[in-house]
Amino acid sequence: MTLLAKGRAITLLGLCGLVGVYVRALAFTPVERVQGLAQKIYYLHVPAAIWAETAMIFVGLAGAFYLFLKDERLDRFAASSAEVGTVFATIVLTTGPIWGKPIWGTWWTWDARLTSTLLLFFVYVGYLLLRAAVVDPFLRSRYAAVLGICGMFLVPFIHFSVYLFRTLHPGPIVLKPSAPSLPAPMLVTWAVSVAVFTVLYVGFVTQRYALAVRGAAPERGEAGPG
Amino acid sequence: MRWPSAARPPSAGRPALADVPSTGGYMVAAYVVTAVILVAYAVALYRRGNRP
Amino acid sequence: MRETLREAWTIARKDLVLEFRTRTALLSAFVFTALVLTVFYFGRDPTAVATIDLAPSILWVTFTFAAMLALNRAFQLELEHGALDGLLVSPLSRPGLYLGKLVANLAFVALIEAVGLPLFVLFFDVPVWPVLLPLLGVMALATTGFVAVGTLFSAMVIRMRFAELMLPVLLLPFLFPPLLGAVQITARLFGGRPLSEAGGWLRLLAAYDILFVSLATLLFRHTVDE
Repeated sequence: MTLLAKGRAITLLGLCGLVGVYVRALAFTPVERVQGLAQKIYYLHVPAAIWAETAMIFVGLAGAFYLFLKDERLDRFAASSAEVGTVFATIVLTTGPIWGKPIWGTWWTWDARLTSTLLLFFVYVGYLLLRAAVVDPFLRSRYAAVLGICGMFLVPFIHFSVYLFRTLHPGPIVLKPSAPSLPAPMLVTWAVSVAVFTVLYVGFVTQRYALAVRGAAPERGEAGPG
Repeated sequence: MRWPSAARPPSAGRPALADVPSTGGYMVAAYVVTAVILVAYAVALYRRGNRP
Repeated sequence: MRETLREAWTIARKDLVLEFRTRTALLSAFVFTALVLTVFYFGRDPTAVATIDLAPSILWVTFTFAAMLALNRAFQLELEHGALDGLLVSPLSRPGLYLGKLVANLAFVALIEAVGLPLFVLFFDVPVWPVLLPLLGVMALATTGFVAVGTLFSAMVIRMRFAELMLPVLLLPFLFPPLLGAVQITARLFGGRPLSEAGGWLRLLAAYDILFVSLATLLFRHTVDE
């Protein structure tokens, strides 16, 4: 089975899992008392946020190893992880306002997760633009690695900045969209959702990586299929 | 279909389930948007894979 | 180590001499700063919000714009004069080269801030004198953060398409922690609060500077070497 086919299979598995999550979250998880049905957005919003950020860390690590080892497979993985991370960040940034509107009354709130993900999104966009703006493939890999490493190190600073800001200017705490201690059925739904998003991440990155292998062959002067 | 509910008899000051504003529309919107994004990306990757 | 510092000083001096010979960049930066401050002044409604509440943000937005101008100029100068290749084949160490550029850029931005701050005090009638020393300290910390990352990125950006657009796009997410910290501390200073209240923000700025100056020094060679 080619890598692309494996990626497609995993993605399909992930999408089936997603259907399962939807069914479980919508029909078999208790409704939260204060927020009502909108709280169920949590089961998509938070796993997407976790992977948006983890993908960035992988981009940074892959970039760092690339600079040491000069193995272009690492660079392809970084590019793939960045693209998939951007997709997940988009999910966070769209579900966030949809959740915020009924709960906090406004579409955008500068809460910790949304702010962090917004900045992360800007880093991703910058990373993808950089890859598009550099013509020479070897230069592109190096520059992308440098940016990826800086982006990875930026993440904790963003968190700390937002945390400092929030402790001094607390947001509305009456209706906090994330319950720190979820009752067991909700916790299970959340965990299943994280697992499904993990499968989707792996499937997407595998496909994207396989496409990069295929697409890169001619420009790096290697013999390639097609 | 009855939603399994975590509602208990409301204690003083807490809204009863019936008083919770209807937020179902937002839930649906968010679930739809997420599905659209993920499926659209999956389809895009699939089509890129099919191009020679 | 001492060799690196000596090299850095050589580079810095060369850049600064070059800049002063032409002087156009410096003059346009001064004019731009004055213009930005003027626009901010006339853009606000004094009956709605007290100037002192907006003052920290206005100051730092102005300084950020000025820093971006300076950074764009920095490597443009090298490109125009075709001196970059000459520098690279010289036996100068890459960390020395980076630190030299950093010092030169910092000097340039410091000069702009030295003109901008008095203008700000004049236009907005903010009592800066009693907190001048801590304010200068914050300015030094935050500016070092911007310029450290900016110097690294501008080295990459000159070899890209759409260079002038790419630098702000890449740099802006990285400006968020130092900018937020600077504004928060400045607000406390203008509000007459003791500096100890802003301890967390100061630690954030210091940590950011230490990390990103070190990181940029290490990564710089990947932006200029083959």
